[in-house]
Amino acid sequence: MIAVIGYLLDAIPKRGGLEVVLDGNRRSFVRTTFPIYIITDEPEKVMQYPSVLSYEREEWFAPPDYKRKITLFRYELDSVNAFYYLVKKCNVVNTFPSVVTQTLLRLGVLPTHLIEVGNKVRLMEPEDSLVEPKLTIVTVERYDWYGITPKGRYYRVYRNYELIEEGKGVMPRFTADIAECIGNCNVESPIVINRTRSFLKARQLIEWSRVGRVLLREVMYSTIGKVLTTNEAVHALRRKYIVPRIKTNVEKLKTLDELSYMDKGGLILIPRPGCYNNVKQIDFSSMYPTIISRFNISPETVDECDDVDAGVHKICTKRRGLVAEAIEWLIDRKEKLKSIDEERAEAVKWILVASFGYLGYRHSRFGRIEAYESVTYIARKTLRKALQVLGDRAIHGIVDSVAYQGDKSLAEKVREVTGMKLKVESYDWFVISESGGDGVPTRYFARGNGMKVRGVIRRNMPNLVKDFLANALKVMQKADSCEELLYVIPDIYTLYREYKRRNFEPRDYVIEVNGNYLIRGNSGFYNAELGFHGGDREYYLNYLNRALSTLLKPIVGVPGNRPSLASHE
Amino acid sequence: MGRTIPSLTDAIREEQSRLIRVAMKIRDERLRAKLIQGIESSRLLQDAFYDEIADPQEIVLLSIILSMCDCGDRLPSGRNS
Repeated sequence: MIAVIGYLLDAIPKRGGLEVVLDGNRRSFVRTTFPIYIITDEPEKVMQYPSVLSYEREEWFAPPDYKRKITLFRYELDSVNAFYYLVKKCNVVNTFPSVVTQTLLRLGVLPTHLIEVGNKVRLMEPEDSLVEPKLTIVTVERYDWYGITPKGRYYRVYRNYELIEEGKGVMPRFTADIAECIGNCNVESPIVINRTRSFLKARQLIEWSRVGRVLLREVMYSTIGKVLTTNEAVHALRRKYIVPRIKTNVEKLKTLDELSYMDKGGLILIPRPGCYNNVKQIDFSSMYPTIISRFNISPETVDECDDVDAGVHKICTKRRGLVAEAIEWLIDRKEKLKSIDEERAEAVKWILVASFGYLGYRHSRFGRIEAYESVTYIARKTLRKALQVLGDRAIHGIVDSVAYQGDKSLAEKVREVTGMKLKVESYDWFVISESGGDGVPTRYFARGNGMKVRGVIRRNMPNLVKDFLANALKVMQKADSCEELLYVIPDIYTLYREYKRRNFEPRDYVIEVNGNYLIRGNSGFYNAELGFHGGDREYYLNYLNRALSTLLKPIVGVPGNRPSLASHE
Repeated sequence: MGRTIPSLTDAIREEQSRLIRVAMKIRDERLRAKLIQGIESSRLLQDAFYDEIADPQEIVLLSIILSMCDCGDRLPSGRNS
């Protein structure tokens, strides 16, 4: 058999093996069997099923504490149909990740990695390779006057994210290794991703596929939870830890005081609204995943011995936790990718972000609420330590970041005291928005190397308002200090009046809510896809006014001789 | 916030609203103003109490007491004060 080398895009189970699909839509058949793990007292009985070829007795660690070994039997099957039949009939474990993924893992090949298929299959690049697969990705984007939509009359076609064609109506046919489409898509490809259903773009999904060792087909519409659980499950299988079909541990009893003490999220300070000069913002890099990894937090290490204090709970460091180990390499990968490719690093970041929440998710296979509580406890303590160093200079703190007035040497002290990796950004001025007199922790804008804007411009705002806010912030960017910001207020008002007076275009009225484009008409909201039938100008002007207050209230409302909003009206 | 206990911010807001309703019914302008001032400062204490076991009522009442101490004033002691 002539060996072929290519990127593994898909694997289709057939009787007696897998049909592997490589880039360029090249297909090859790999002879193999499919494993299934069964707990039984009568191993011979399973052999009566015709598709079962052989079996081996194995010793595996059992959940939830993974200390006790139990006997199970690994059967080799010649078809996946037999697998699904036996899953219903027997006490089967290790059903996750999918049987195809487990079969590929045993063959030593990984999805979206470079492989060689000949008499044998083998991986042609390291498992943790950071090299991006050389694949042709064709992206089709349909759009209309109100925005990008599957029902759009116009199309744009990109090859590897470079525009190659645009037009109206029926598009010409393209070929690709992977196609990702918003709307009607005329691309011949073994993998076609509907972008309205997938969470990430194709090249980020490839990263998920590599990290989770899952086929693109399985990962393209899956949740982040599935990807991260697969990564954990792969580590579990390598350690001979049984992957349970359902969550196996239950929450231990707590007193009300213990519950009240531990059942909390990250520390969020309610900031004082206003404008602050010379601000530094410390961001703890991947704070929660780092805590999980560094403090060895995993379902089986919590309350096993008392090496690390985590409030009501104690963490044991005598053996490496499964979740801690699985997350460690993700943190490492994200850090390495950050300098190579921001988009792929972001794909890994999403998994890291979800990995903490998944510890506390009640159906998570490797979750445990005590582990989750331990993470938030340590995170709160870490932020408190930082706040102690910063004292009254701290102006804002939210879970994994803290802003203060002062120089960078304080950040160094915070690094020393907390022992965490952190990133420091400097701002000439920092404005914290207000609502009902209190500061809003998640809504601020600041000028450093460019503008940092959080929670001020939201996706679900009318285009008119988003456009106004973006332009107003550009005007503000000219100011070098809070004091100078006061001098640009007249310019903001001029801009505001221009927006108020202008004839709104149909596009200005559009509001995007969860992928739907809406317009507020005189008798309520209607779908922009129906065409433009007028808008409630008053509603949009009020919205614009609220947006203006969001920007200016914290600046003019702080103590001192500052002009009031009314004086500029 | 937590999965079983409600948000501390919401609980404090509820407690504040209750006391503001009470303040509005007080027939002494000075006392009413002091109470409202005290209630409004409870967000600062909330931050400090966040990682402790605390009752929202305790946080709001303590803010009122502290706010009054801070003024250096005393509460009106009788009907004619």
